[in-house]
Amino acid sequence: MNLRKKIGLPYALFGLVLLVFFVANYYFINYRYAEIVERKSSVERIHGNIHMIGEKAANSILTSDAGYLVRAAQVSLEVHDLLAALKEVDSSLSETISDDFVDFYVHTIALSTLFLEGRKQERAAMLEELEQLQQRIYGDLHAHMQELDDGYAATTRLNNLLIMSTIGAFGFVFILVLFYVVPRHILKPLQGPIKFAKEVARGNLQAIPPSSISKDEVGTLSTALGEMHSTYMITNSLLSLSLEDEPLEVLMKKAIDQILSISWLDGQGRGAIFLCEEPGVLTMKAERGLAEPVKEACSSIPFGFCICGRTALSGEPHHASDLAENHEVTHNGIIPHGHYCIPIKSSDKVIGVLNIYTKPGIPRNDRQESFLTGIANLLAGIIERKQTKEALQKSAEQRAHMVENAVEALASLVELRDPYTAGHQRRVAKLSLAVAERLGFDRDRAAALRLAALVHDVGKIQIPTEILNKPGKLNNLEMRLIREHPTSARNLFEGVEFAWPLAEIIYQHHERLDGSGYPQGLSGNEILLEARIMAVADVVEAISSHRPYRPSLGLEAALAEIEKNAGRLYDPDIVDICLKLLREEGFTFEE
Amino acid sequence: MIKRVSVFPRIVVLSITVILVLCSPSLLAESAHSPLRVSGSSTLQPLLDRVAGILENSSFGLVIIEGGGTTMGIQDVIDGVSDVAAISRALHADEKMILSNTLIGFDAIAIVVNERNPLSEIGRADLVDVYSGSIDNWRLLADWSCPVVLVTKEEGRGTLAVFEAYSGLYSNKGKDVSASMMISPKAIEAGSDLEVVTLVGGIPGAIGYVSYAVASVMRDKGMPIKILSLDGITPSAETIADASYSILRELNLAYIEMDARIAALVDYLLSSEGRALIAEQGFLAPSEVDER
Repeated sequence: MNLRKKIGLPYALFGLVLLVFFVANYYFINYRYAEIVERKSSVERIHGNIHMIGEKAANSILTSDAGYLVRAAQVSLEVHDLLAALKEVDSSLSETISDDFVDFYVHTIALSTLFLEGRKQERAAMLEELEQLQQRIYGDLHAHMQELDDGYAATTRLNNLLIMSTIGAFGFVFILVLFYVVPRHILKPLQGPIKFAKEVARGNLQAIPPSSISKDEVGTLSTALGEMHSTYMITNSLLSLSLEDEPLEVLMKKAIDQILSISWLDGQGRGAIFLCEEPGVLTMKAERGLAEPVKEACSSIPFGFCICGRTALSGEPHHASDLAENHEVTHNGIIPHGHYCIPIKSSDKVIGVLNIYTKPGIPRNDRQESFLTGIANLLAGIIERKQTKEALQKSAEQRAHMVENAVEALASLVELRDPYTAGHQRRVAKLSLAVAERLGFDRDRAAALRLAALVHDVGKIQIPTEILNKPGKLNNLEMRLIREHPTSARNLFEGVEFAWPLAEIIYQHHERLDGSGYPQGLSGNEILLEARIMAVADVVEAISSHRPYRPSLGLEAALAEIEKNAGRLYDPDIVDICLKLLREEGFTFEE
Repeated sequence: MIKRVSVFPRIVVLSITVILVLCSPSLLAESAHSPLRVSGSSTLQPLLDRVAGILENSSFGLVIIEGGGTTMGIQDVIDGVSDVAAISRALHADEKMILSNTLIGFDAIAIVVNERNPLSEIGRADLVDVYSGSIDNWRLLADWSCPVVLVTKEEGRGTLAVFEAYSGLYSNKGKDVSASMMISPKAIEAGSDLEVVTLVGGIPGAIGYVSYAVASVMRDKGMPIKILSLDGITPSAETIADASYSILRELNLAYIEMDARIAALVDYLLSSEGRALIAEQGFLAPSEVDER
C-alpha cells in the first residue's frame, strides 16, 4: 500500500461516510421538518375554519341567505378531513377533538338556524355554550401546536448535534492522520534512508543500506538506495578488476560473478562472457551456473548463431523473455529462462558478448538493458587494456628474445674463434644465473645478467689469438691489450637498447671490491651487483678450467681463491652463495 | 294683504279636512290592526317569507313570519300569540275541532345524507334500522366505513310527525315506547329544515330527513348533501305528484277564525300567482295533485 492510499484511504472512506451521512441526515431532517410543518399547517387551518364558523355564528352575520350554511358545511367537511389525517399521524392529538368539533358544529348550526327562524330568545344561552366549546377545541389545538413546536425545536437540536458530531469526527480523523499516520508511516521510516544517504554523502561507502519491508514510497526509496549502493559497489569492484594483474579469463570469471550478484536484474544467477578471439567466432571465456550441455554447445559460437551469435553479428543488444524466442541451443531438461545478450564493443567493433539469464517471462526493461550496456562498456575497457598489456608484454619478450638470440649468435661467433672463451662464457653465465636466482632477481634482470655473462669476453675478439693463447707470462703491452677487452665490449653493446644495462655490466666485470680492478678501478657499491656476481663466477670458472696456457687448477683452488679474497676483492654475500652452490648443492658447470 | 289673510285659513282648513277624510279609512285600518303574525312550520317559512314580502308591498300591513315548528304554531294560535299557524302535516282530529284550515299544497320528506356517502338509495327497513341505532356504521349498507350520525327533528316539528308515521319509530321525548321502536337517543335533534340540511352537509356520516323542497333547493345552492331514493323511488315533482314516492304530507294554514287579511293570504296562495310561488319552493299546489 503506498502512502497516497495510507493517507488518502482514511480520508476517502471517511469522506464517503460523511457524504452518505449528510445526505441521509438532510433527507431525514427535511422529512421531519416537512411532516411537522404540514401538521402545523393542518392545525392552523382547522383553527382558522373553526374560527370562521364560530365567528360568523357569534357575530350574527347570518341572513336568510343560505350561502353561509353551505359554506359552513363545506368548511366543516374540510375540518373533518384535516382532523382524520392528523389523528392518523398524531396519537398525541386529543381523542375527543373530533367529537368536540361535531358538538361545536351542531351548536353553531342550531344557533344560526335559530336566527333564521327568528327565535332570538334562546340565543344567549346557546352563545355561551358555543363559546365554551370553541375554547375547548382551541385549547386542544393549542396544546397540540405546542407539541409540534417542541418537535420542531427538537429536530433542530438533533440536526445541530449531528452536524457538530460530524465535524468533531472529521477533526479526529484529521488529527489522527496528522499525528499518527504521517509520523508512523512517513517520518519514522524516512530516518533510515536519510541516515544512509548522509553517510554515503560523507564518503562512507561501507554504510549499511536501510532495510525496509514496507511497500510504500519510503520502502521503494529504501530499496532503491540499497540497489544504488550495491550497483555502485559492484561497478566499483568491476573497475578495480582492471587494475588486477590476473589473466583475462580469471578477470572475466570474477566479472561475471559480480554482475550476477546484482539483485534487481531479475537474473537467475547464471550467465557467461564470450570473447571474440578469432574473427567471426565467439569463445566462452567465463560462465557461471550453465548446464554441461550448454557449456559444451556454446564453448564456441559462430557469429549469427543463436541469440549470442546474432548479438555479436548485429552489435545490438538482444532480449528474449523466454526460450521460445529464437533460442537455437537447447537440450533435454533445459531450465526455462530469458536472456539479455549485450555486445561488448570497443570503438564499434564487437569484441565479445555478455549473456545474462533472466527469470522466464520477464519483459525487456530499458533500465536493466542500459545498465548492462554500461557494464559491457566497462568490460570492453578491461578486456582492451588487458589485451593491450599482454600484447605489449609479448612484444617486449619477443624483442628480448631477439636480443638474446643476437647475443647468443655473437657468443657463437666468439666460440668459432676461441673455443675456450666460448665455453667459459656459457659456464660463467650458468653460475651467474644460479646466484641471481638465489638473490631473488626477477626474470628480466636475471636474463640480462645471463646475456651479459654469455658475451662478457666478446671484447677479446680484438686481441690477437697469439696473445690470448700465449702460454706463459704476458708482457706489459700484451697485458694492456688484454685489459682493453671490457671497454671494447662496452663500445660494442653501447647502442643496444635493453631493459638492463648490459654494456655497463660487462664493462665492470673485472672491477674488484677494493678498487684494484680494471678498467675504472671502481670499488664497493660503485660496482653494479650484476658485475660483482659475474666477477666471482668468472674467477671461479677461470681457475677451475683448462686454459691453453696452463692446466686446470681444480675447483677447490678456485673456491679457495674466492673464499680467501671474500670481502676484499669479492662481494662476500656472493662468495657465500657460490660456495654453497658448488660445495653443498651440487651445482655443476656442465650442460 | 287683508283679503289674502282672510282667504288663507279657509283653504288650509278645507285642504286638511279633505286630506283627513281621504286618508282616514287607511289610517283607521292601520291603527285598528296589529301585524298579521304567522308562526309554525319551518318547512313553510321560506314560502311564507316570500308571500309576506309581496303582501306587504301592496299595503297589506306588516306580516311577521316565525318558525318554531308545526306544534308551536298551533299553540301560538290557540294562545293568541299568532294569527295563523303554518302546519306541514295534516291536522289531527282534535286540532280540527279548534282550528279551521286551508290546504295550500303538498310536500315530500326527503332522506338526505352527506354527499360523500356512496349510498344512493335506501329502503324503509334499513332506514328504520339506521334510526333505531342498530345500524351504526355505513359499512353495513355500503362500501364505506364511517360511523352513522343521526339527525332527527325535535319534538313538535311537523316533519318529525310525518317521519314517525312513515317509519313507525317514535321520538324518545315523553313517549312510552320500547327501545326498538325509538329513534336512537344519540340522534342530534335539530329544529328547522335548514339546520338539518346544514348538519347533514357538514358531518360526513350524517343522515337526516327533511322537506324535499328545502333539500333540493339547498342542494342546488351547493350544500354537500345527497337525496336518497326511498323504496326504489327518487323524489321529484312527478313522483310526488303521482304519489308514488312514499312520504308525502299536506301543507296547511290553520286559524281560529278567518278574517279579511287571512283570507287575502289564503287567496293569494291559492291564486295562480301563489301556486307558482309554491311550485317555485319545490312544493306541489293542491290543484296539481287533484288534476292527477
